[in-house]
Amino acid sequence: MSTAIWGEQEPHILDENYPLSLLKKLLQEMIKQFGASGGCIALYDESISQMVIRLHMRLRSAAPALASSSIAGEDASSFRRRVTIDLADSSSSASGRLRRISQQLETDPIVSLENSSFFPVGAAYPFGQDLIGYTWRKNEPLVIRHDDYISSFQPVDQVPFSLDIVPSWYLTAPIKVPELAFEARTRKQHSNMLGIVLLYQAGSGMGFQQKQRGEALQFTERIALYIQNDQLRRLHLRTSDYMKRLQQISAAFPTAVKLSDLVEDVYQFVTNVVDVSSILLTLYDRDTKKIYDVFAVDHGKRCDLLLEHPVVDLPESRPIWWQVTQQEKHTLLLTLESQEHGKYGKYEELLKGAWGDQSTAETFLLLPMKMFTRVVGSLCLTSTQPDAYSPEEILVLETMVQIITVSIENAKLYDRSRQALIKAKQREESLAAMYSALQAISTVLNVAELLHKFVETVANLVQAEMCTFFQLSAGEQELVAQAIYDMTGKWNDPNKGGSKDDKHNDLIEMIHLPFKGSILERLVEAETFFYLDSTMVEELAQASGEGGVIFLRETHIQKMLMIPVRYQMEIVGILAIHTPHSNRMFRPEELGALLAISGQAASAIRNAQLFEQIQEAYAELQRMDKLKDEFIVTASHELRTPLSAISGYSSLLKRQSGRITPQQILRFASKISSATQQLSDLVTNMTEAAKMGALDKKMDLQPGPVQLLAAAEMASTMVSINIEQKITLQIADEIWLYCDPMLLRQVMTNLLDNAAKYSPLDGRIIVTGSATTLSQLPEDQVDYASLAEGVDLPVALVRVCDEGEGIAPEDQQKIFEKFVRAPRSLMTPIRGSGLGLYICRRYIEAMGGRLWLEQSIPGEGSVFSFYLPRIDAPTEMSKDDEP
Amino acid sequence: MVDDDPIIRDMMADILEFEGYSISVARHGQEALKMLRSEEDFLVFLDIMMPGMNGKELCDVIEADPHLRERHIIVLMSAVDNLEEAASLKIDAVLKKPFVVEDVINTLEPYM
Repeated sequence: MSTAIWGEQEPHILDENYPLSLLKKLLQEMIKQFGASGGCIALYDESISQMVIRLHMRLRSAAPALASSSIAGEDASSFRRRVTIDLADSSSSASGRLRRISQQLETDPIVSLENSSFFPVGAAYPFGQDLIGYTWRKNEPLVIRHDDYISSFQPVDQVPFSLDIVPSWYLTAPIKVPELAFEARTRKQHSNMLGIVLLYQAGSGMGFQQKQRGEALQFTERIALYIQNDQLRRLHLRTSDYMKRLQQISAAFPTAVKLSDLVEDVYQFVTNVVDVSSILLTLYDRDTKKIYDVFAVDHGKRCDLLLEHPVVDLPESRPIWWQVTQQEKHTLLLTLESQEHGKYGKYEELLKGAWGDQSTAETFLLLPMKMFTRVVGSLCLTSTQPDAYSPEEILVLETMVQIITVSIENAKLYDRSRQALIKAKQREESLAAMYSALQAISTVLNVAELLHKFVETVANLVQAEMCTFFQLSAGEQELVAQAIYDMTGKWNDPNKGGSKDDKHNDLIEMIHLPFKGSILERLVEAETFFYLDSTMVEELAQASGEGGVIFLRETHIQKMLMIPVRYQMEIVGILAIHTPHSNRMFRPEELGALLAISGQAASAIRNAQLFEQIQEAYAELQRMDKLKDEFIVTASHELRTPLSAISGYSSLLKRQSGRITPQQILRFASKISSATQQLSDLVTNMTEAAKMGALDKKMDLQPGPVQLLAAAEMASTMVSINIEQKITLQIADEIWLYCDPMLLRQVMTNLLDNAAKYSPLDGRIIVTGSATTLSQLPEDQVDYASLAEGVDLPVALVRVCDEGEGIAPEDQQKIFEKFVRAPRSLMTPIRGSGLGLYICRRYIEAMGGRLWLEQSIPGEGSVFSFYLPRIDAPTEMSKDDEP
Repeated sequence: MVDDDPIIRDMMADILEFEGYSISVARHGQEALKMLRSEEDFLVFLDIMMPGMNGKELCDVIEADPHLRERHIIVLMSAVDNLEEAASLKIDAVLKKPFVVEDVINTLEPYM
């Protein structure tokens, strides 16, 4: 490593590749040292591979007056500067000698000649030509007389020798590349010769001695070192210049890359660093998988238009580019002219395109834009110069490309994260919208209101004009609309106005779509969501009732999104979303939101339904509670009568024991026992009802053959004691039943009692009994399960007809419930616990029959009917079998 | 004696006949009214809860009729019956069910 420190900074001359002023001083010194009249230095010019004379100097006394005056001795004046040469090989004695010589200066100044008549500045000599070319070839110092020179060489540039001075001797010495000098220039050179020094003597001097050749060689070694130092310094300057530019480029794109700025920087950088005739900047986008030529210079002509309208290509159409950038991933340097054309024929693809025809270029350079292992583009350069790009220049260019690659990628990343941020924000917003939507629906516990809110929320969430919620009908035959939201307002009218709303809901509920067996059933089973297109809609319309057809056709469905709303695995309903006349498909994030809200709605709907059921159950319980209260009042009232009889008669017996007759005692006693029986029956009834209420306990039956007529007569006798009305039995005596005789008697008694209670005192009560079969009975009272077995069971039908006030239609079902009696004020009492019909029905059903209110006409009377399994009369007819 | 329940009706007849009173019975309000207008009864026992014309209505009719309004009225009631309602009626006494013979005599005697 060698460093030269010069006393003052010389102005940097870009045009010259050699240190002219330094050479002048060295030449002056050499002229003095060798006692020469003048001399010149030729330096190797790489571009023409010749030695070119750069400097010619002569003693002023020997110089022509004209020429010398203009170039006075200012050159010499500054020569006393201290020069330190520090070489790795310090054996050189050059510095000592230099100092010694400098003291002899200034007697006859030596000046530069621009227009010497021989060896003029600018003259060029190829290898071997003339004295300079000869020295070059010989590669050693040479001393020669002028006469020998004239005879040996054919001087090119100085014929005839009409000289301002006639030299007599010449001394030449090669300036060789110092072997030990730092190998700064790695490029292979045509010659290791930096230049030639030529000295001459004029007049009749003693001439140059042969031994002076060695000294000359020592001197030229020094010159070589100076030149080399200068070159190193230039290289250093250049490198720092590159570094500055690279720094500028890397600082230019911290977050965003404007392509035009980038291109401009690349252009400026490249043209400053190397010789280029054409440039092509290509980018590859991984997302679109396309190649973009974004900038080109075609033989010095910029194509900025590409920035706006890049040339777009697919990787397949540029296989070579693809191979070089994506597989080899190395800088590609081609020296086209010096190679046979065939060798680089395969690269032809690279030499054409957006930057014109580059096949005439001498040098081609492709720099891949590498980002880790990926290649995101390339920068291609061409030069009309051969070997235009030196390794260190390529290194600098590679660095530059690396920097812009990182910049571009950073900018892309930044852009991506910004987009991700925007997306995240949008997501956050839609989540917030969904959250409030969910809140809106989860806080409602009224099913109808909830459904209205649900469809409205959904429609607003995805900006659909219509949203409808369907529920499966009982038996899953159809879908029935429950709520519609319509942005245009034609169909919807959620929760506004009382009576109008009911009417509106009735209308909505007329919209029925076929489900069982239709495409809907299949799709609902298989899909989380699906679309109905107009063909499917038409298919559904064909199978729909009027309401469904109106909905399907008049809402102009092109594409309707259907989302089955499931709670766990069970279908709660179906959400249908569409915009009339629109073909809209929903985006994945919209579908996600809809599915989420549907899931939430499913549980909200289920909760609301449960809540309503609980409310109904609660209301039912309250009703039951009230009935129970009423029952207690009634029952205690009922209990009072037999209790009064018992306490009255027993106190009478006690009080009148002295005067009472035995006949009277018997009568009073039987009154007491009858009242006791009545009391006992009431208590039994109540206990039975309470027992049945407890989890439908299986009743303890003791069935056997019972003759219907006998049972009816018994009941009739019992009831007749306490009633005024007349009971008529119309029953054939051959009808036998299979049942529990005790229960049958209780049923009959109850029915007769009821008939009497609700009839006027002179009313008639008729009991009929007939033998028939199950299939002959009224359809709605037949137990289909038993009929389905293919057996038509024999039954007996019993009807109890009264002429009472009848039962209001709204009460006809209720009367079979526990504790319910046909309504009356307490002021017009009907005796009975209110348990009668409930108990009767349960008894009959337990014995395999049915009991129902056959008819009831207000003011005319009611008919209660029941049937029980009928059997043939037992062969041994005996009175013991009677109940 | 007015009651729709034949058991109570017959028992009251038995009790009062043993005590030496003469008694006529009616099954409901209309029947009672007819008898009141044709006979010179001194005192009326009536059940407050009856089908047809009930005890309250019968009381109102008796009260409204100048020929009948001087009659004493004793009402038969259960403990669970609305006593407030009974208090609003123009009646002389209340006989609560169930009762023994002495209750009947004690209620009756102040008006004899």
